[in-house]
Amino acid sequence: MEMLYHQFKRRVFGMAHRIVGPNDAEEVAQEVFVRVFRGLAAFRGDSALSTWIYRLTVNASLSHLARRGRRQEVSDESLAEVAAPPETTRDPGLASRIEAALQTLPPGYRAILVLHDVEGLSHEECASILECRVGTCKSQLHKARARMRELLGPIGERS
Amino acid sequence: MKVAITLAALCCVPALAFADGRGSGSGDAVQHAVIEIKPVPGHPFKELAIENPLGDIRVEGHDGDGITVETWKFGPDEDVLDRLRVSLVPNPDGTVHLMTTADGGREVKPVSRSAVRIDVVIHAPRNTRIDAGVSSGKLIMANLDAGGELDTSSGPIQVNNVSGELVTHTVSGKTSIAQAFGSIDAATVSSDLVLDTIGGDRLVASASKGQIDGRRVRSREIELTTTDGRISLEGELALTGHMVISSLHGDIDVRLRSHGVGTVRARGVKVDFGGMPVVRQGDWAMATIGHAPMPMTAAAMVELQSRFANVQFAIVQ
Amino acid sequence: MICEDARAKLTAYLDGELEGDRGSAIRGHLRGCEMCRNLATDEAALRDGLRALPPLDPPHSLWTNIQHRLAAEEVADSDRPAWRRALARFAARWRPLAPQFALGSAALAAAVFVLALRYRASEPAGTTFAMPALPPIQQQVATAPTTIDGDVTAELAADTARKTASYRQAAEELVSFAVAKRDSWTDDRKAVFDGKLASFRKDAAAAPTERARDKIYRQMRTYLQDVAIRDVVTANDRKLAGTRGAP
Repeated sequence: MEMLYHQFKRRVFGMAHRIVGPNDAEEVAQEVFVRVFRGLAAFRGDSALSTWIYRLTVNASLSHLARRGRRQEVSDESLAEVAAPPETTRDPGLASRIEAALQTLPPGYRAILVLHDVEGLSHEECASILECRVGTCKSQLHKARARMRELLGPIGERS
Repeated sequence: MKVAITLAALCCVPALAFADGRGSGSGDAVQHAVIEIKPVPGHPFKELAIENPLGDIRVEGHDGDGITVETWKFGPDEDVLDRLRVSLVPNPDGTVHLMTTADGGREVKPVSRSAVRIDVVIHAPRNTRIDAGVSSGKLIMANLDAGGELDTSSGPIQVNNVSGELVTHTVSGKTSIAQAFGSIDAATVSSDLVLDTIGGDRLVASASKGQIDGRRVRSREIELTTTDGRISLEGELALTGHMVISSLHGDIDVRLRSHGVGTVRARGVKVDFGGMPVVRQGDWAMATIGHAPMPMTAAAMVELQSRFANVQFAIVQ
Repeated sequence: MICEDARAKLTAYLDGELEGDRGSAIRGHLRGCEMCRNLATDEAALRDGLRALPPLDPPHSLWTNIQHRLAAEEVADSDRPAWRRALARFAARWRPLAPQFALGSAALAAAVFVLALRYRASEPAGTTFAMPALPPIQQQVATAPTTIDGDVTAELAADTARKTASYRQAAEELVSFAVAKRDSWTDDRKAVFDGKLASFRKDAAAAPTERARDKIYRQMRTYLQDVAIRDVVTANDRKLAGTRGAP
């Protein structure tokens, strides 16, 4: 049980953190793991374990946001808590700007960006987790990135 | 409150420990575990509430700040052992709850009470208040300074070297309290109460069909009451102390040392003051303790009465 | 290709999902259109930035709290009838497929932090973990256990009932001795006695737990012993009799 926790803790906590924000991430992650451990016996094995856990995480995060209210103001304090980016990032402030921008997106956009771009899952996997068609997934990702671009302004190196 | 928990050891041991036979016969399954919880500095444990209807509890004070819980579970097989649960709940207010259950829901195979057992031994900081309950198991409390409340159904209660406010109650378990200093309230229904070396502000003890036997008792205020049992008390009458010993059917025998002055009054079927000069006032027999002139407001007072039995009183040197 | 078409396919293009001529058409457009090229650069930087976000480590308290929650839910399970557990298993099987969680039971369990010690020799020894700041316990573990005929649970429940009956009997057996003195009392004392007796019985009947009921019967016994032996009926009688306070 503990091994499974350590295997997935960063993914579950990271996803929850980026979807519901830093203040509620631990609560949601806790909820997810409790459901994982209590539901393992009932896990049907018709999808990968990781897909199942991602699905639990997304659902728990979205449910949490739905209960809390569709949007939540992000305080400066919570932004300051966002982890510093690794040194390899070209724009040292980019990671925290991205984290902050993520928090202002609609929850559905956050979910697809986290699954596809942060976690690196394929559209097929995202569709399975989000329980939508692959096409919907792609168009959601496109819209989400467009919104992020607007929020962040020019971030790429101009030729 | 932050607490660090150490699962210090989890291992099986032979069925010995302090389980006295029950549920520990040959072929039985036994599990032994030790858990230690530590408070964060500045947030000491204040109270330990323990419910173990399945066996004994022994709580002892120690000089450390952590609580160590050692448990032995006994059952006919591993499945039954799996039903025996010990829950430890550290509360942020400094209270730690420990409870045991054999509740496996309705789907389990019934197992008789005599086939299962959980014994719990706890070491806690001396200034932890103890609130403990067992059913037929032993309840032992020693070397603690913040008092507590002990409850059993038929199990014996043994208290040794404690201070603070102590309350004990049992239906039929023999209660022995020794070296207790503080406010004590001990009650039994059909069992005996033995008190040895008791001091402090107040001692209240009562029984219905049990005896009360007190030695070296010097609490300032004493009330001992039985419905049927005999009461015998040997101790010291505190200056300005008050003592009320009463029984419906039981004999009363009180022997006191006294360094001050006071009055004693008694009534019973037969009253024996051991040769002290007695004054009659209605159905009361009254005598004076000490030789100084008697300022009643500052004097000690002793009242002894048995409605249907005899009263004996003596001042001993 | 016009800008609108190119931008619509930008995400797929950047993710390498456009093959053959569909990809080369976008590439061609980007070469000639600075605005779209900038958008593509930004989106690529965004995608890389998202991918490079550092992993977030949960606080140590997470694992501890999960264990507490699991233990609490186990305790809750054991107090739940079989049909409700079956329902919960069914729900657990299907819940992951639903977009919304039913969190009622979890919220209840969240109020209870229990470390249930499931003793297994295979569990790691010597594990140390820090417990986080916990909210106050609002609700204790449910106290009414499931009882089964012929089982230890039924025997313990019977024991509890016997205990209360013993305390009750110890009190009630004194009533006749107390009442025997009644004729010598003033009306005021009679009224106090009757009131006290009725109040003890009423409180005992309404007591929320056996433990509370036991306590009331013990107080009733003490009062009746005082009445039957010492003729102490009112608080004033106690004072006159020389004791300072009632237990």
